[in-house]
Amino acid sequence: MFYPVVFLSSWMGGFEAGLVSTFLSTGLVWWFFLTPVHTLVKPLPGSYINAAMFVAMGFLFCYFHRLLHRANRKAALAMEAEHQATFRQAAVGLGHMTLDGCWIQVNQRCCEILGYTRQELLAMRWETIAHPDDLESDQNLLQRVVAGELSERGLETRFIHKNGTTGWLNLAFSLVRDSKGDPGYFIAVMEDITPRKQAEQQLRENRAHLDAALASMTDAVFISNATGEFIEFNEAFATFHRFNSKAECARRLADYPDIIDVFMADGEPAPLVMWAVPRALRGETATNIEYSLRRKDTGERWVGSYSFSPIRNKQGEIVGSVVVGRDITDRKRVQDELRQNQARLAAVFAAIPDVILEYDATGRAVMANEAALRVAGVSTLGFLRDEVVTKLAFQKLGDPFARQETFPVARALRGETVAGELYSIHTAGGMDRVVSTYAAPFRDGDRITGVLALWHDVTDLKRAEEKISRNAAELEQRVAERTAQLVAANKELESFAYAVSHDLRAPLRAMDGFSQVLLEDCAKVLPEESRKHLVEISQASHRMSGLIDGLLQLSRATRGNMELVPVDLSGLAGALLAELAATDSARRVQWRIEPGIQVQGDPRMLASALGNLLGNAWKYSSQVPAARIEVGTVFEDGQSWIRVADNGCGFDMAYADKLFKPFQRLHRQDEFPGLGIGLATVQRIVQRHGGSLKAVSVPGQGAAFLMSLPNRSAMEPP
Amino acid sequence: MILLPILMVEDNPQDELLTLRSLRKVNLGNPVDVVRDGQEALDYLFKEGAFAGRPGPDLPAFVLLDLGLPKLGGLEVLARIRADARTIGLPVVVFTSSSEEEDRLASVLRGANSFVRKPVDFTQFAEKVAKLGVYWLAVNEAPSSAS
Repeated sequence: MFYPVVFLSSWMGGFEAGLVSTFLSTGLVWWFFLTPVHTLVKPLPGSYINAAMFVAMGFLFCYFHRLLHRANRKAALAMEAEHQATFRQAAVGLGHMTLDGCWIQVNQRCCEILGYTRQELLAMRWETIAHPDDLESDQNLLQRVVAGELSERGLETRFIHKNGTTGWLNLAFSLVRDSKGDPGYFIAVMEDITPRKQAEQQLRENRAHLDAALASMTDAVFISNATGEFIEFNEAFATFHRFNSKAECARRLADYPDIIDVFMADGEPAPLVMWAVPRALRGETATNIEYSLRRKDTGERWVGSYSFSPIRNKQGEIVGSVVVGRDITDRKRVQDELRQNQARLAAVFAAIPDVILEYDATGRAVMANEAALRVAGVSTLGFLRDEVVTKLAFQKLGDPFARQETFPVARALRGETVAGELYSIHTAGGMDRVVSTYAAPFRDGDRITGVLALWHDVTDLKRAEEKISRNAAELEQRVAERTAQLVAANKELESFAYAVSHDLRAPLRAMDGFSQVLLEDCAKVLPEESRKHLVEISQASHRMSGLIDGLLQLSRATRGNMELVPVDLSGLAGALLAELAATDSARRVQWRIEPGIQVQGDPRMLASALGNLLGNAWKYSSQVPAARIEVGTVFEDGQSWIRVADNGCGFDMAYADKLFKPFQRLHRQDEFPGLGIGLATVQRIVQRHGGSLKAVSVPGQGAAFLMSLPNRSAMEPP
Repeated sequence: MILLPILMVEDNPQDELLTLRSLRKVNLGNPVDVVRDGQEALDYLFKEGAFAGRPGPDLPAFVLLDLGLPKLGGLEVLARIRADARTIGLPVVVFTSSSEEEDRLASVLRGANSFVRKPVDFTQFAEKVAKLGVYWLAVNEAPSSAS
């Protein structure tokens, strides 16, 4: 009955245990169940045999068990090794972890991924490598795994690498339960997805960059696939095509012919195949191709400058196109205006008869107008100013030795503005011209970038000027000659007057003297008739003497220099009349003088003139009972006159032209004695003052003499 | 008592005759020496030329000087008279037909003692000459000549 038990224990207990239990049970059985009768002292042979058999059987069982155990063990070891190898060399990171997060076992890959050695890892918990932000979700995952909700589902989570960087794992946990079904430990399977994550991140960033770049571009950018669908386009694309928003834009090229008309740069309509996208899709690459566009709905026109190229894949096949369009309408308009301005400027330059030259900062001519061509024969641009100077024999007028540094362009290049300086040039046509030069610098800030020079042909003007000055000189010469002649004539006249006053009197004196002598000495001898004749001779000589005095008075009246000073004519007239009244006290003459008559003139001459007029008035009113003389001013013919009037006999206006001629008289000597020199004298004095003299009269009612004395112009003596 | 002569410088023989007659009429008694041009007048006064060793007083009582004279004019003669110390105080009466202001002024500026115009009217002429004679011979007291 012990046998099964012993065998079982030896089977179960293994070789050594089996043997011990066999021997113990044998001894026990032997001692207890075999009575002392059955002692070892008196053993039964049979018993010995039984015991031996029992032991042998125990040995056998143990042996078999051992054999069997060894085979089992071998198979288990092989399996274990296989597992270990798989564990160790798995391409994914594997690790066993206790339920509370301590590592039990990690494989090589796991170490590589996490950056720690095995020893380091086994001393660590999950929490220390988990990314703080993801720890909660990691733990959540573990709980759910434990709860059986999730198993073997991966989680993308972050961890902290030993070197401090953050990495990404695709992490899966599975729970190993023990034989009783209780949770044992976790098996963690981790895959390093950091590169993928980084690539994804990079891609996202790139995408963001691209979006930002596209959004920030003012040029319309659109990318199409091979079939002409727009897979990318920016906000500017919408604006460029006059859509209100990006959403409004048609996404297929094929829709666009219904929206816009496109024209080539030359204005010809462009069929769809000639548009930028189809051209790019055919493999063409181009920049700055101009198209003009027109919205079919609004008719709005604009001009775009397009650059495009195809997009190729690695195999070189065209998979799409990228097109950039820029609205250059404004630029075109500005360019057009600029072109028009330039054309206008060019037309102006061409039309200006003056030579216009533009020099750059180095003194090289960069522009010359038509006149430059015509006048200077300067046909090629790029010549230097020195060449112009040499070629045209450019010289400062009146200073042929002036140095070139002092010439207008050179000075303008130094910042000066030159205007109106005269230079002579010898033109290509062989003409000598005089030009008035102008040169001014162009400035860009403080820097002189060039010079504009202008030559105005003043040759004709110069010649005219010369002619005028020549004429003037001639005229002056002639005037001088005439003046000299006049002076000579005047001198002659003076000496004549002197001779008259001096030499002509002597014979008269002799005539008178000897007549008197005869009368005195021979009065008794001479008959009455002869004595009368002698008296006639004497009277004639007196008369002749009077004429000579008159002549002298006339000639003296306007001789000498005039001084122009204010003269009180009223006062002068009063004095003269008082004098007349004193010398002719027999007469009663009434006079009235307008007070405050003031003129500008020569006091001596005016006294003479006024004296003559008043003397006449006095004389010719002598036969009127109530003689009246008036001195005043009147305004006639736009000027003011000094009027001297009397109520005397007057004169016949028919003879008025004779009034002012010397020695011409309108009255007989026996009526009114006189020489006929007074009014001639007045006339000459008034003329000398630049004025005029006139007379009005009605015979028997008096006469009025009017003289004007303009203040401004007093004529100089000849 | 020696009556000093009157020196008359006159180129016109008629004026000479009329002057002499007029002077004679006032019975002054002084002799009248007549020269007919400016040069003669100076020669007479300075006893030069034809008048070298001229008898009689060195200087006349006064000079009656015409202006319009041949050779040397009256004004020039006057200037020479005043330029010489011997004749600086000699009374000179300019006696001329000229009524020119310029002549009057020039004569006074050159030191004429008097300027008298010869009137055409003989009555006036004779009167003037007579007055002249009386004044310069009897009324005026000339400085004794400095020689």
